[in-house]
Amino acid sequence: MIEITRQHGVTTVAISGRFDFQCITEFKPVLQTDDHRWIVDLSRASYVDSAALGMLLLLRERAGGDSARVTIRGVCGQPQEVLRIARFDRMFTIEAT
Amino acid sequence: MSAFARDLLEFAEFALRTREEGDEVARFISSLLPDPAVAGMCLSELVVNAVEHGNLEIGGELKCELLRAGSYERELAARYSAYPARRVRVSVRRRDRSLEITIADEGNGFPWRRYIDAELVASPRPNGRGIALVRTRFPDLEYLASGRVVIVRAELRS
Repeated sequence: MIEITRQHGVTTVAISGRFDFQCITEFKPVLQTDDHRWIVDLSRASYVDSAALGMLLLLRERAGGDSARVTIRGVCGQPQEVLRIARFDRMFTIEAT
Repeated sequence: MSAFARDLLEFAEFALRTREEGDEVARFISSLLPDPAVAGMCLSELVVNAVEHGNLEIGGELKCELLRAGSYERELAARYSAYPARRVRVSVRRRDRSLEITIADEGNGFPWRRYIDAELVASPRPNGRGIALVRTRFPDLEYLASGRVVIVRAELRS
């Protein structure tokens, strides 16, 4: 499940359960939102796959690429390991649980 | 699967058509391996590659364009209809304390050499990092038959 909230100029996307290719449709509104400051809350995400990594990178592109300010928060378990091996710390600010 | 049943495994084969089916098969096989959550993601990646890039003949550049345009799922549905009989076969053969997992598709081949560079895992593109990611966990990944077959060897869960 994906929830989008906006507060103080920052848009937060909270993802719970499996964040995988089956979330592509649900993630579309995120990619249609014009904003530059994002928090992606993965504290309730149990699993990510490469499609999820792709969605996060599309969000980064949409938010301005190298100048985007996207923080991935609450990372633990399998998502933490996958983001680590994908070296996402080079492109995002990662905050572990 | 119980450890007892796991010890009885010699050979199994799955025939699948969609990426959802591939994901389920990958999850099942990964339950036989240590660290099933990350191993499952890696196996799913290989099976999904076989479905999309192999059987459905969606190239990496096209996939990137479709993802950016938000029309990837529509194209997938069209290609499932265009290639209804194609299957990906995933076989698992036990060799002492390890498993040999073979994934074979019925497409025209896959330019795997383009995708094995370890630096690709850190690419900002929305796709194309899958095989490089898999190699971090299964470094002896082996492609055969112009990329239509990929073999992974992994230690069994103890």
